[in-house]
Amino acid sequence: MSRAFLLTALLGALPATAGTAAFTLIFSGDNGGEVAPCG
Amino acid sequence: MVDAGNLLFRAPEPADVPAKQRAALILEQLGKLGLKALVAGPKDLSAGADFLKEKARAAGVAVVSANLRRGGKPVFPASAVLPVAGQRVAVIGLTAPGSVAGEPSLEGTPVVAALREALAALGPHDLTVVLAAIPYGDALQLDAELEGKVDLVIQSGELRGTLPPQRLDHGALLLSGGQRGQALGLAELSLAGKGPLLDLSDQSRQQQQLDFLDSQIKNLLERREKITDAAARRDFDKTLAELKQRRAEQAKQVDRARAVKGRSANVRWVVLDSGYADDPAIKAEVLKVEPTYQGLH
Repeated sequence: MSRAFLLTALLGALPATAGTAAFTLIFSGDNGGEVAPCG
Repeated sequence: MVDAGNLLFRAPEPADVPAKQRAALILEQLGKLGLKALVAGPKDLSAGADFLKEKARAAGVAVVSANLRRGGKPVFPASAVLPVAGQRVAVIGLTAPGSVAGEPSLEGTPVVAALREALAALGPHDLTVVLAAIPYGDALQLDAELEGKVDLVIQSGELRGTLPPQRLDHGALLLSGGQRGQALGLAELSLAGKGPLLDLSDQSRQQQQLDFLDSQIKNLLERREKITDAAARRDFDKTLAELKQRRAEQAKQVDRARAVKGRSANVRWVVLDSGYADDPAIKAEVLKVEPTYQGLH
């Protein structure tokens, strides 16, 4: 599942922002039961 | 990471065994990758609410819905408050109103009243996110009814894809949810300050529009040099003046956008195209429930 691999990479790459009230919210929706990205 | 719902099943109708297996895999894997909260949308209830509860609990994912009822009683907590980088992120879920195909004893009650009640019950928090597995039109109404109380609405149910954020009339930003695993949304948030979230991606678009007008004016000035007929030149100058007027107005827009300080969001999409390789271990799990998987389709 390439989406899963990407998430792992993204979460590792997000900068540490402790104490600055800043963070990245990852969001999604409407996946519709897919287990792999659909082009 | 949060999900605006309609995550687990391809259709809201009662699910068969293969569909349940796929759903369980999706929740398990996303739970491992850090999914913290999910709203119960119609396509998450195709195997019933108890199935969703069980699999989500096992995956460590909080399921929320402020308006889903069984026999008049709430089925899930209305909200969850997630600690993130020293901030308290309140996440409230809304399920599409009406009956639920996957379990006839379930019902989604009217969303505005449910959201109002959920907001009143929230403790201290720094950001309010509504995960709205509800029709787009209903999502627009949330902002109108609850001015200033909601920061982000992430909406699913109509496959709206990867649209830019939409500023609603009373300050909330409405986000689409991507669709069918095609993309992930990233909202880089800064909560130092007060007021509605400033949309930094909109600032960028306003500047791009100004740059475009500048290039158009430059192009027209170069063409003007070659016009010798007086009447043609007068018509050309009229067009050029109108374009310069639009440029001046756009420059004011850009200055106004830059002058606003405070809480901000920079939203972008990461498109999951064929440039991203499969994870071998996860792919092996996928093949157990989707033996025909060949790659991006």
